[in-house]
Amino acid sequence: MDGKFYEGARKLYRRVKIVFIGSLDHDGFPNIKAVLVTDKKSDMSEIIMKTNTSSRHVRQLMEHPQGCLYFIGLLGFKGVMLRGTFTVVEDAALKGKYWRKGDEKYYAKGEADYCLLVFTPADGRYYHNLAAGDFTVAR
Amino acid sequence: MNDTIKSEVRALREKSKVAYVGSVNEEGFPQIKCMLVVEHDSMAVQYFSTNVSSRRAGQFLKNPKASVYYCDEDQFKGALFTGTIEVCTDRDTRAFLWREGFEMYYPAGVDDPDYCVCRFTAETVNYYHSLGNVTFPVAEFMPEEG
Repeated sequence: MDGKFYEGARKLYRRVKIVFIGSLDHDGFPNIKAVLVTDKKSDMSEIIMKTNTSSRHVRQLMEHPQGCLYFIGLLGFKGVMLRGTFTVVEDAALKGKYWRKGDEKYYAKGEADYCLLVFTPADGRYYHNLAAGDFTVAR
Repeated sequence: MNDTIKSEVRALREKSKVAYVGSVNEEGFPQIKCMLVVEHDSMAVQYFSTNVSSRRAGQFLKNPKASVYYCDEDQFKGALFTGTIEVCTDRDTRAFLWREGFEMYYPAGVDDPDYCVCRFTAETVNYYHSLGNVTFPVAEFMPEEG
């Protein structure tokens, strides 16, 4: 693990609220979607997002669970791409833990169209101006 | 596609200073990189500059499948264009895209052997705003731009 790049990525990660999910569609084209972060482990080993079960990216990630999460700093000069695996979680207890009042607005069909995406990174790449470097994510 | 949606996509793209570019790496995994929006020909064509030696250029040479995503996170709006990227190293295209300040990235200027242009050509666009979501061919923009 390259400590310098990992620490740079961790600094950005601490403030991250919105991430970009990279997935592959059925024809092999990369797709991108911005989503809000619902919960995250401080060591970057797990990131949880809420989304609609019927959405395109959920369908794609069920077919190809390998994807990436990307996020940037406020000015866009720093960025992190985490590579890893997505799991679509439909467990009622875990979903219930993250359900908030007002979520009905986004999930009009209720629980049937609500799921969690749990992302487990294996490694990542940190960008800062013209420099870039890889790091691994420990578990 | 109706004109309101088309003008919303156009406005979102026009005000975006950066775009998120999707590629596929050698192992078949999707990748994302934020890139500066520099120039476009039409709604179907977007240009980016990058280093020939960059991972992204290498990925597009092997697999041209790409996407370009513009978004307004505050308003929950996003437009995902899907298509292909051609890595251009010919002098005309490189000179066309060259901008003052690029020397920071390509010290030898327009003819820097590490400077290239990614020309993205879109086939379809997916647009969402709040809970609405539509996908349509980029060709539907074309008659307006004749």
